[in-house]
Amino acid sequence: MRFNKSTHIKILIEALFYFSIEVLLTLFFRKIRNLFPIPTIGENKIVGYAQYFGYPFYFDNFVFFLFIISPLLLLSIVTVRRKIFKIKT
Amino acid sequence: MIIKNKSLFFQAIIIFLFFCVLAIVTFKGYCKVYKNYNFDTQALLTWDYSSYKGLLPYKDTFYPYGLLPYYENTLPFFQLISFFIGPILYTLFFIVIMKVWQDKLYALLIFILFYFFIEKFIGHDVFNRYGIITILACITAYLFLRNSYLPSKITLVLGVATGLIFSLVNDQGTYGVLIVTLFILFNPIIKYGFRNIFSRNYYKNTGKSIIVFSLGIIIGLIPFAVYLTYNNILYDFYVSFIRLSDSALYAKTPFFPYSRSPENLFTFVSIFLTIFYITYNKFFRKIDFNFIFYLQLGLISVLILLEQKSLIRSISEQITFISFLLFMLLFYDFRKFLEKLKVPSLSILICSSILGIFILYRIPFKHFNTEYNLANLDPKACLNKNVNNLLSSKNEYGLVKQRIEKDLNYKGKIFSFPGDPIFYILNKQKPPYYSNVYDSSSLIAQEKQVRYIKERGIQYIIYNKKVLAVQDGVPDFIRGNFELRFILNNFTPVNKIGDFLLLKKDSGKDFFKERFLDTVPKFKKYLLQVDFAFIPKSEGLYKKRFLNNINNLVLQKSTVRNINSFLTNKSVGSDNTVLVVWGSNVGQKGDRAWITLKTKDNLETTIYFYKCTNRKPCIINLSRLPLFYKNRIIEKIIVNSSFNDLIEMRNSSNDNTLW
Repeated sequence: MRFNKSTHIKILIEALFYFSIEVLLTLFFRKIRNLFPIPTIGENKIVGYAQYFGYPFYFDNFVFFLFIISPLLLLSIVTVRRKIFKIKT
Repeated sequence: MIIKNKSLFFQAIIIFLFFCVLAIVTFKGYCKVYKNYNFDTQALLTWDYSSYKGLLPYKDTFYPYGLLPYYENTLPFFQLISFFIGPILYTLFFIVIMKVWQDKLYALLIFILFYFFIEKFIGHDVFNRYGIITILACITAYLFLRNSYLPSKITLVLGVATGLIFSLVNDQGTYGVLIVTLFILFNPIIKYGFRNIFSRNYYKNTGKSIIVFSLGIIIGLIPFAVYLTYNNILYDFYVSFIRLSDSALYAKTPFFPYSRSPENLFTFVSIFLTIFYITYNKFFRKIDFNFIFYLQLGLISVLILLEQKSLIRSISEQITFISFLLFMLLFYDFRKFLEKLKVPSLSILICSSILGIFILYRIPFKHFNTEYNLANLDPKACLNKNVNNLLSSKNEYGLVKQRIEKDLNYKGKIFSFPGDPIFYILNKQKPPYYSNVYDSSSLIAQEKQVRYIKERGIQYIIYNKKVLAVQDGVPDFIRGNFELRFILNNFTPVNKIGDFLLLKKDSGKDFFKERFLDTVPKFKKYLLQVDFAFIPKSEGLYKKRFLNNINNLVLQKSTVRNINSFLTNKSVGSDNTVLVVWGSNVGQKGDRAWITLKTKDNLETTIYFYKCTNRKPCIINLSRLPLFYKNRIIEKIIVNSSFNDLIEMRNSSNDNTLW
């Protein structure tokens, strides 16, 4: 299915709108961080920065992964919304 | 297969020869003369020393990088590989760029820009390392563009190449295995959609590819296996490789405070835009997959893998050249888009050139700056040069050596804590397996360090009292607790030279009762007023089950007054004693709680920690406090007047789970 030029612009604006919501949500990242548990000291008894300062171990991986796949998610939302509302090209 | 075009083949030859000549003209030698002697460079110099002395990596010394960097200054064979690796990488990148840009002028401009980007911001050493996995990803992408499943011969060659890369630079080989495996698994899905995974053909072909690829890796690993077997270090390598994962636990630092650096933003924006672009093309433009798409996939895979490393220990500056390539690929389509809009080609070329110059001169990246200068010296002269530079830059090192050898008349082996391995070089002794307390963060590693002190009959420890936290602000008594316990229990301070304390073997004396300690008040305070930060909270959160054991209860939840009267009537030793603090009002200082413990022999220590709650208590293992490395009778607990929480005392002798 080919889209015309104005449809492309509409899609981009919609994606940009979702992206701005995502950016706003990231402003609360400290609160998200607090949802993650502080790391444990395991049987190998290693203490580094994360264990000593209680920094959530997988927090960065989680947020980074979310950001990386967000273009895929945003454009999927646009596609699904267009299908639900049967928007023509 | 990659170069069918004869003209491109000759151009590639010319580029290769050009970079060989450039490498010869700019060759300065393999000897690294370090500019300063901090914790990092001392570790590097110690590895140079170990290599020169013929010590084996993995067996004699902890070495996480691979044979090529270990032997590049000492063995001609590795020097040869090291010399050619740059020209080979640049030639391969040239071919990739020429394959993408059919317009030769643009291709050449992009390639020149790429070279100067590396020259200015990355450095050739780093490029020679991370360039390996990047080019492997580009070649893999090219191969998979034409075929859903690669022919067995090509898969085998890819496997052999990956195995060889692993032999030389371990981490690049590991990434290579992951990248090729990802392509093998996902390429049929990319080409034919998710429905493909329900077909029998998919499993048959991917299974076959993975077997052939694994076989190739094994073949590629043969020279490495021969080296390891010949030196009888196959098992040592295996153990060392497995334990490398420990570094993720002790090296982890926060990523986000650094994520706003220009380099990180550059990388992040390149990944984000590329993923957006290829998803958009797939969803709304239905564009066929071409070489650029595959290259983008390959480069994104490499960047995501390397970013995982960067999340643990930042390498954001080192991987920007991959982001640069991603931007160039985006620019390729952008240029086509402009041409469609009938923008004159010359204007695009001029604007692109200005943009290129802007990137090189205005982008606020840190300029590449090595920690060493290269010199054309043989390994022995190289070592002497570094030692002489060191002694002239900080004479304390020489004074310490002089004090031990002449004044104390000691010619034996020494040990450095927390990590000035330069003393091993000065003393001409074989360094311990780990050169500092950072690398030996795990308990197994610390035990190895202690064995070194015992087995070598070491009589003197050189303690750098200025370095209270060798890395990341984690105090050394926390990171190297087991090692320090052994040192403080078996050595006593006898001398002070600048930043260094000399500790002499004498297990009969009490370290904390030595008057000498009063001459170093800052160090004394460091050992007696200790900050445990989140450790008691974490212990309480995860190891509360330990509290269910009724048999180890010494004193049930009590007020401080009751505890103190209990301590007056009963003799409670610090060994294996655990305090469980229920509540959050223990004397407060900022966001920390504190408790002071006074001993029968009139010593006292204060512990600071983050507050806990009534439901999730804090658990403090007293044996971990430097004062209680020796068993002492606890006389009194002191808290501030507002204290109204309960403390429980337990014995942990039968429980090894607590820190």
